[in-house]
Amino acid sequence: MSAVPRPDAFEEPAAPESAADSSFVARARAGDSAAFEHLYERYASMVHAIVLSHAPPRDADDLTQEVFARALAGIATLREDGRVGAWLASIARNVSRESLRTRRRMSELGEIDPAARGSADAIHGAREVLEAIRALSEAYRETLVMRLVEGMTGPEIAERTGMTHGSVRVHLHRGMKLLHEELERRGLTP
Amino acid sequence: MSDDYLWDRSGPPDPQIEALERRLAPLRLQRRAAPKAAPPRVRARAAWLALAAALLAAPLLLLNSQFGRTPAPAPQVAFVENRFVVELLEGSAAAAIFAPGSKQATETSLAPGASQIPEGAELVCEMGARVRVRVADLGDVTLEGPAHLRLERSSADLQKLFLERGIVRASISPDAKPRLFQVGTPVGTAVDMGCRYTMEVRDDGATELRVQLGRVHFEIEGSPLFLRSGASCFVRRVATKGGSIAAATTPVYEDAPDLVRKTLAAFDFAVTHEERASTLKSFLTHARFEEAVSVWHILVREPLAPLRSLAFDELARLSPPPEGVDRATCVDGSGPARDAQLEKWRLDLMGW
Repeated sequence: MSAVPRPDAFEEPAAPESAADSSFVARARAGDSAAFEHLYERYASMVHAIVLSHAPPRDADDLTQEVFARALAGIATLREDGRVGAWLASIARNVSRESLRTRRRMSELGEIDPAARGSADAIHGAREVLEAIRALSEAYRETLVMRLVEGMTGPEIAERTGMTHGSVRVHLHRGMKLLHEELERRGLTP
Repeated sequence: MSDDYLWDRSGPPDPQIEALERRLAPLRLQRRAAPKAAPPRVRARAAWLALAAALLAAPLLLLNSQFGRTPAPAPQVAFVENRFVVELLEGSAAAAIFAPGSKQATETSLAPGASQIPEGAELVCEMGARVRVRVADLGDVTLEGPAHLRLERSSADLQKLFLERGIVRASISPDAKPRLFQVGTPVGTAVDMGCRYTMEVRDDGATELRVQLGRVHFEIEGSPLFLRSGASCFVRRVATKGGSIAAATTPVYEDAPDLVRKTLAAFDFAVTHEERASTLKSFLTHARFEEAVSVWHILVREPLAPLRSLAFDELARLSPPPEGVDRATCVDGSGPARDAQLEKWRLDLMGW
């Protein structure tokens, strides 16, 4: 009789990051700037979402650049070329935490240049929803920002972060439910 | 709610999700160009300019008494490759410059903007004086007197200073290649990873390192401490039966709550095993997520297995170990396997 599988055995296998990533990492490590630009294009949204989940929104674009600057400087230390997404995510979380430590306060989203981002009302509305997302636990927060702010699909989130499709589905579904509750609690139901 | 639309935008759009997407759109990443590696640094072929004409009596006397060498009657002019340039001078300071292969020093006062200082030179800064030296195109260091700094090495792959005593404030570009800029002290070497920091060396060589921005490795007798923005540590030499060793406090954030800092200091300076155990428990009770790196240092450096065990449990609570990192190896293991696991955990915690 076969053993009862564990719940996670029903999950689809972890989405493998593109095998091409390894090649781009190797080329970037050798100084190929086009290869690094490819990695930037591929992961910038994920990194931005993670930063936005933790750090002052006003700083999110700058901190995203900082993450990639550190990645470029430290790419020689990346041990598993195929896990570049997880590595960038780790840098993004650390850069965000450092940023919070430096500022010691959340900056106001209203400080974002409206000309670059839309009207002051639009920025205010975005801030309200983002604050509700940030009230959720970290696991839901990052996944929801990737999906709702950056427009990444579930499969893209799984591929970039290395999470299983099942985990991403759970985070999105459960996260949306919790977000609705949070928005309702704040009187912000869309 | 449409699961398909939420998952991959297939199927009919979900009005609630669409409304959230629209509302959050102003926050979406505005892409810029990817960062590029800094161009190879230009090795400035420094033409030695004439050093300042006016020799200040006080620094010369100080140098005479300190180095026992004869002041030169006129500034030396030479052509060497070096990249230390005096940018600012407040008060009285002087340099002792050694001719290549010679123990004879030429002593000269400094002039901002004109004085380039060669490898091997020693800077002496009097009480109240301040000298800012540009280090190649990496950044600058400011020496605050009374202080004594040696410019040990200036090459394409290493810019190294040695602070005998006094205060140095270093501000190094985040674009600088990691490990390129280093400041030694009698108890260890601060290895820059792109940052701004302050080091103070006391008369007995004890050193305090405070990181204002970025990250620093403080390498002490082969073992590094890892500090990032806001963290500090203190290293002093302590006597042992066979001589002396450099003993360091655990790196901690300077703005950590008083209780965290006090309990950690009590642990760092505890002497008996019992004191160490009780103070560690007290510190771990108050440790926050921000103290995870402090707890990691304790796990790495603690000689007593039961205390390593406590540190492991607390660190695992604050930041679960990454895959492949296990309790048995971290607490009771030794050698490269343990080192590798602890390093993996550190990278997971710190990202660099």
